[in-house]
Amino acid sequence: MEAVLFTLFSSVAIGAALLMILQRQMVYAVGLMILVLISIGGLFLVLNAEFLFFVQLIVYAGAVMVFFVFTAMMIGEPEINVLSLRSPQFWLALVIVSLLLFQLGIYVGGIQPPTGLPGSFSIDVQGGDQLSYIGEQLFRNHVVALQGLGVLILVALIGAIYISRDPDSLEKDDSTGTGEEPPATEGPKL
Amino acid sequence: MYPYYLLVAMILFSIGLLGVLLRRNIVIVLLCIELMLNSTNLIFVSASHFLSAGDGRIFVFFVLTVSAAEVAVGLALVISIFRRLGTINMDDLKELKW
Repeated sequence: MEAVLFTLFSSVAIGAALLMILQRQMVYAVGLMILVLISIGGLFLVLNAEFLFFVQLIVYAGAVMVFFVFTAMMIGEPEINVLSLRSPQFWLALVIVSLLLFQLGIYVGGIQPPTGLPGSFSIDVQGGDQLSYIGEQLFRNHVVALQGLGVLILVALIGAIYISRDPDSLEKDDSTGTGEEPPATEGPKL
Repeated sequence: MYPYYLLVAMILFSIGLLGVLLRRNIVIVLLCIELMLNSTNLIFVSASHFLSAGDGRIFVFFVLTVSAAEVAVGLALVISIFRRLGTINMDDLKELKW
């Protein structure tokens, strides 16, 4: 059963990813990416990572892809030529990616299958389920990284607002705001 | 079973890499970068499952959040570029200063 689900989800993910990089319209590409994300979330579910499945659907497919849709709606112009088959870049990119796949394939083929039962990692936590395990690990062993993540999100928020502000619609902000006199424009009369 | 998950993640990573190398549209390039990040998330979760370690899922949590923050700033930059130059074709963005 696990093999059937794995085959189903992985074939959908690979097919949707292949279609995604060939789309002319941005919104179609985002829709296919959402399909890829749901398939990868399904693979997470097959691998007994329910919490990550939920987080992937809510955060990635629900927030990040909506971000992309907003941007695509704001911009909205399709690309003229998606992949030109005659440019040397095309064949160079294919050669490089196939070399990468070949090297990774050699590595993956030489991996010894792990011994022991999969999915039986011991959770020594009061609740015993996955969410409490992840929460406990985050707040016990990885607190600094978690707080750093909070700061990172805050910085990204402020940065995104500042970078994407529209300079034409803002008021001129050369006043100091406290009602001072404007500087004198003429020197002393001689 | 474990090498098959790695194979799927490898293929997804290579597809994302092809998209980054060959597409001229910045938004699609960012989308393919997200695909590469997702394939590494798949590697982490499958390693966590098959090697019986819980640390992979913690790292996936962090990678997810960092990629969301990176997408926010990246798309804000894309919008700013589009407002200034009117194009998102990467071939037209050859200069550092306009």
